[in-house]
Amino acid sequence: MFKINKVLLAPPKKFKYLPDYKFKCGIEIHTQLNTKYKLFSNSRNDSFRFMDQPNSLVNNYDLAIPGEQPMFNYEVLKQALKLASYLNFQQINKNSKFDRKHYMYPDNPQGYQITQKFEPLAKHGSLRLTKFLDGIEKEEKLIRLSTLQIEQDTAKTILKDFDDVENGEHSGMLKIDCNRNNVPLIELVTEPDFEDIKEVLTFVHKYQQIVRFLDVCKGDMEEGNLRFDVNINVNDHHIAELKNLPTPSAIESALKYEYNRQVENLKEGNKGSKETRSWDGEKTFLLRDKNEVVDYRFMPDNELKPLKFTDKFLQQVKKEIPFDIDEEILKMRSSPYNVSDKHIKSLLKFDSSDLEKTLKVYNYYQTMANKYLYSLAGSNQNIKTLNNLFVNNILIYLQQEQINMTFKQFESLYSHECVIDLVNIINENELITSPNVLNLLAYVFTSKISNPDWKQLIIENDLQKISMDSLDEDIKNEIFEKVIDELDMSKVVKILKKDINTWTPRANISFNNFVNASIKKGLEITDNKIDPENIRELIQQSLISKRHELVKRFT
Amino acid sequence: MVNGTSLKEVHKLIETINPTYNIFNKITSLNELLKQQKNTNKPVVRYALKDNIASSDLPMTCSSKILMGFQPKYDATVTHLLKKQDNWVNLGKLNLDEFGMGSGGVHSSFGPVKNPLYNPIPESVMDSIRNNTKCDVDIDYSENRVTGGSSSGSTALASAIIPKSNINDERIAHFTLGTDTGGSVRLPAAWCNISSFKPSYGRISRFGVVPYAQSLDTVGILSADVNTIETVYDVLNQYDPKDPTSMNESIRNELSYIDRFDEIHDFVSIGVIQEFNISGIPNSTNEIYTQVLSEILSDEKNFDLKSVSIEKINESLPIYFTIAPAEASSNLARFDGIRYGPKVEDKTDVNIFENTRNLFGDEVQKRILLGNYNLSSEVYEDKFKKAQILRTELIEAFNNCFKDKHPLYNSTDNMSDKVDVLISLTGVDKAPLLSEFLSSNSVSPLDEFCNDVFTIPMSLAGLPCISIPIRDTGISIQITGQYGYDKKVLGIAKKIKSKFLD
Repeated sequence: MFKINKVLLAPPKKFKYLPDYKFKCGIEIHTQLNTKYKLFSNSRNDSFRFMDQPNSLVNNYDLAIPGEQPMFNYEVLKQALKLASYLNFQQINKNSKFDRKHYMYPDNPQGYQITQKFEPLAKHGSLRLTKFLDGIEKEEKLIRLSTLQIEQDTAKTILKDFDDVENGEHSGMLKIDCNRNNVPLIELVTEPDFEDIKEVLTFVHKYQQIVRFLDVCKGDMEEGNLRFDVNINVNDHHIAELKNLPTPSAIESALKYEYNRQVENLKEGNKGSKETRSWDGEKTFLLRDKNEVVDYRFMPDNELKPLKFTDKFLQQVKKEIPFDIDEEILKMRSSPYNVSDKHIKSLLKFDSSDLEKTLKVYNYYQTMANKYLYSLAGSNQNIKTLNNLFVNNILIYLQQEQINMTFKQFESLYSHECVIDLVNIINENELITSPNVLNLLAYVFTSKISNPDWKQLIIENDLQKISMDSLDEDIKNEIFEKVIDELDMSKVVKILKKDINTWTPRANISFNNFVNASIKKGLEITDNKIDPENIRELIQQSLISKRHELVKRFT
Repeated sequence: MVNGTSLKEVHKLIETINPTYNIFNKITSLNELLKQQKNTNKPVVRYALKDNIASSDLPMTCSSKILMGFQPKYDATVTHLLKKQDNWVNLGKLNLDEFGMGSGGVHSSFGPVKNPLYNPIPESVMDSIRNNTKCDVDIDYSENRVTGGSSSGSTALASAIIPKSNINDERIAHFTLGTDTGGSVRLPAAWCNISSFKPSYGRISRFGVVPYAQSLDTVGILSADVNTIETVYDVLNQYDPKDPTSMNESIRNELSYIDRFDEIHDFVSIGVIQEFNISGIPNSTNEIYTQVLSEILSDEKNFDLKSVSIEKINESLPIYFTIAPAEASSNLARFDGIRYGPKVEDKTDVNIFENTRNLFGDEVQKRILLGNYNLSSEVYEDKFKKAQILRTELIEAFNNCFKDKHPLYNSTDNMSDKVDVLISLTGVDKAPLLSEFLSSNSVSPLDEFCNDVFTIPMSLAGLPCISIPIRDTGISIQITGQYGYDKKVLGIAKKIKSKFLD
C-alpha cells in the first residue's frame, strides 16, 4: 500500500476576513470597443481574430510612420457616450480633450499613448449593486465611478526566449504585433468603494453584462476585451496596484493573496510601500522597483481637436439604449409578468455575443406577454403558462439540432397571437395534455407549419386529451395493471406492507419515486392522452386500495 | 516663367555642385525628371522638397542618421498636389537642419549648406558641363556664410543662380518647399536674399510632413519671385481631411470673400512693432530698414505708417523654447529603431533603445532633453502650462492690432488705430559667417533661438507672414497679416515690393 501524503489531503486554507483588518479596493477597467475601425485610423479593429497574422491590420498611422496624422473615428464617441449615459455619468464633457502620455516601450510605436488625462469625456458616474438582483451581502451598494476616458490600446509584445537579457544572454527574440495598436479603449476608474471581494466580482460580472448589452464590447476576457487593474489596501497599509488581472478567478485569488499579505505585513508593524504588483497564478509579486517612478510627461495633444458634440447627438445616443437592465428585470419579476428568476436568466442574459438575437427574443416575449395580459388571455388567465411555454419549451426546442430553426424564422412563422392561442388551450386544460403539447410543438416546428390552427391539428393528429372520468373502471384497472406490469414492484411492496400512517420519510420518498415512474409509464401506455395528474391519482389510489392484494401477489 | 536652361543641364549642374554645396540629400534621376516633363514644348517649372516632406518615390531622411534608408510609401498632401501640376518637375529632396531644428543650416548629417548668395556657382562649372569636361567646383571660402535654417537646402536652391544662362538671374529652382516652425523659411530666405512665405497655420496641409513642433509647423514656400510664391500658394491652399489641423472648409469659405487685396486701389495701414526696436540690430541694418520705412511714410496716398505696441511680444522667445522642444521631444519619441530606420547592432541590450537614440545629432538631443524637462511632472505647471497661457495672451495681443476680424476669436479691445499688416525686419543682421555662427552656438546653447527673435512671435500666433529682401542688401523685411488673410498679405507685399524694394 502507498502512504497518503498528508499535505495533499489537508483542505486548502480557507480565506477569511479578519474583523480588525478592513479590505478596501478600487478598480480600473480597460474596455476594448468593438467599433469597425480603429481609434485614429481606418484599419480594421479585429486584433484577436487576426492573432495568427501579426501586423496585418495596420496602416502607416498604426506603425507611427513619420508624417502620419491621427483621424478620430466618431463611432468611438458614440459608443463611449452610450456607456457613459448608461453608467449615470453626471458630468459628460461636451468639449473633452486628448493628451499624450509618454513612455518608451517596444509595444508603444508612437512613444506616447493618446489618452484623456486632463479633460476626460465623463466624470462622476455610478453603478448600483443590490442583494436582490446581484446577490451581494449588503442590501445595496453604490460603486462610484470617477472617470471615463477614451484612449489607445498598445501593440502586443511577443517575447520569445527573451528572459535572460540582464545576464547578457540574448539568444531570444522580441516580436511586436501592431494589430492591437490604436484599438479604441475606454478606461473606467472606480472610487475605492469595494469592501469585499464578492462586491468586486459582482461588479465585474455586471459590467461585462452591460457592455455586451450596449453592444460596445464583446466582453470576452479570454480575448482581452476587458482587462482589470485592481488597487487594494488593508487598513493603513500602502496601496498595491495589481496590474492586468485577466479573469474573475485571477481577480479573486490575487485579492485574497494580497489581503493576506498585507495583513501579515501589518501584524509585523510594516505598512509596506506603494507598489505595482502582478499575479502569476499563485502569488502577487513586485512588478516595478518602487524607486523607479515613471514620469509620463503628459501634454495636451494639440493636433487633435476637442471632442465636441451637441445635446441632440447625446440624446440620440441615449435613445439607442433599449432599457436599463436592472429596471427591466425588476419589472419582469413582478406582477403582472411574474417571470421566474430562472426564466429571467435566459431572457435577459447577455453572455452570448449574439446580442441582436437576445434582444429580438426578449422583444418578442414582451410584446406577446403584453398582448396576452391586456387583451388575448382566455378565461383561465395564467401568465406562467405563457412564460413556461415560451422560455422552457419553445426557446429550448429552437436550440435542438433536429428542428434547426433560427429565432428569426420562428418569428416569421409564428405570430404572438398564434402562441397565445396555444397558451389558452393549455390553460383550458381540456383539449390536450402537457406532454402532448410538446409533441405538437415538435411536429409543428419540424414541418414548419406557419400559424397553425392548433385545435384542428390536435384533432387531425389524434392528440386529443381523454378525460379520466369518461373511462370506466375496467379500463382504468387495465391501465394500472399495464403500468405495474412493466415496473419492478419489490421495493414498493415492502413499503405497502406497512400501514400508510407509519411510513418513514424515506418510505414516502421511495413511494413517490415509484409513482412518478408510473406516471411516465402511464403516459406511454395512453399515448399521452390522459392528464399526468389524473394518472398520478389513479396509481396512488389503486396502490393504496389494492395494498393487501398487491403485497400478496408480489411476495 | 520663360524657358531657360534645359532640364538635362540643370540636372548635370546640381549633380556637379552638390558635393560642394550640400544642397540636396537626394537628387531625382535624370530619367525620372524627363518623365515628369510631359510636354517638351511648354516651359518646365522646377521645384524641390525639403527632406522632411514625404514623397513616395524618394527617400526621406530629415537629414538625420536615425532615418537613413527610410523610404516612405506615401505622398505628403503637398507632394501630391505638386505632382498633379502639368510640367512641374521635382529635382529632389533638400538638406535641412536635422528634423528642422536649427537656424543656421549647420546641424545636418549631410553637412552644412553653402550660401550661394556669398558663394555663387562659378561660371567655370557651366562651361565644363557644356563642354563635357571634368570640373572642380572652386569657391571662395573667405566669405563662407551660413544659409540659415532650418530650410537651408530649400533656400540655397531657390536662391542659386544658374551661371551663363540666357535668362538673367535664372534660379536652379523656380520655387522650393520648406517648413517653418519659428522662422525656418523666413530667416534663411533673408540670409540668401530671396522671398519666402509662411502661410497661416492650417492653410496648407501638414499631412506627410514630419512634425517638429506640431502646433507651430507650417509648410513654407521659397522663391526669388513673389508671383511664383502666390501661384504655388494657390495650388497648395486646400482643405485636407487627412490633416486634423487643416483649416476647415467653413472658415475657408468665410475668408474667401474677405481675404483679398486690390493692389491699385486699396489703402494700406501698416504698423511698426515698437518692441522690435532692439539694441542688437547693427547700425548698417537699421539704416537700410529706416530708409524703406521713410519711403513708405512719404507715400501718404497709399500708405499710413504707425507705431504699434505689442508688449507680450517680449515673452515670445521663452514661450517658444518651452513649447517647441516639448512638442519635439514628443514627436521624436517614435524613432526607436524598431519599425524603420537603420539597423543598430545589439538591440537586445538592457535598454534596447539606447543605441538607436544615439543616432540623433547633438542639437536634436539637446532639444529632446529640454523638452522632456519642460514636460516633467514637477515643472509642467510652471513651464509648459504657463507657456501655453502666455501664448494665448500673445495671440490676443496680436489680434487686437488688426483691423480684420480673426475667424476664430473676437477682438478684446476697440482701439481705433488698428492696422492691416505689421512690418518688421526678418533677421537682426545679414547672414553670419559659418565660423562665427558655430562659436556663438557653442557658448550658449540657447543663442541659436535668438536668431529667430523677429520670426517666432508670428509662428506662435499662426499668422501669415512673408519675408522679402530689400534689393540686394542681404537684409529682408517681414510683412505679417491677420490670421487667415494670406492673400491680402501677398497682395500688400507685392505692392510694397514694387514701390520700395526692387
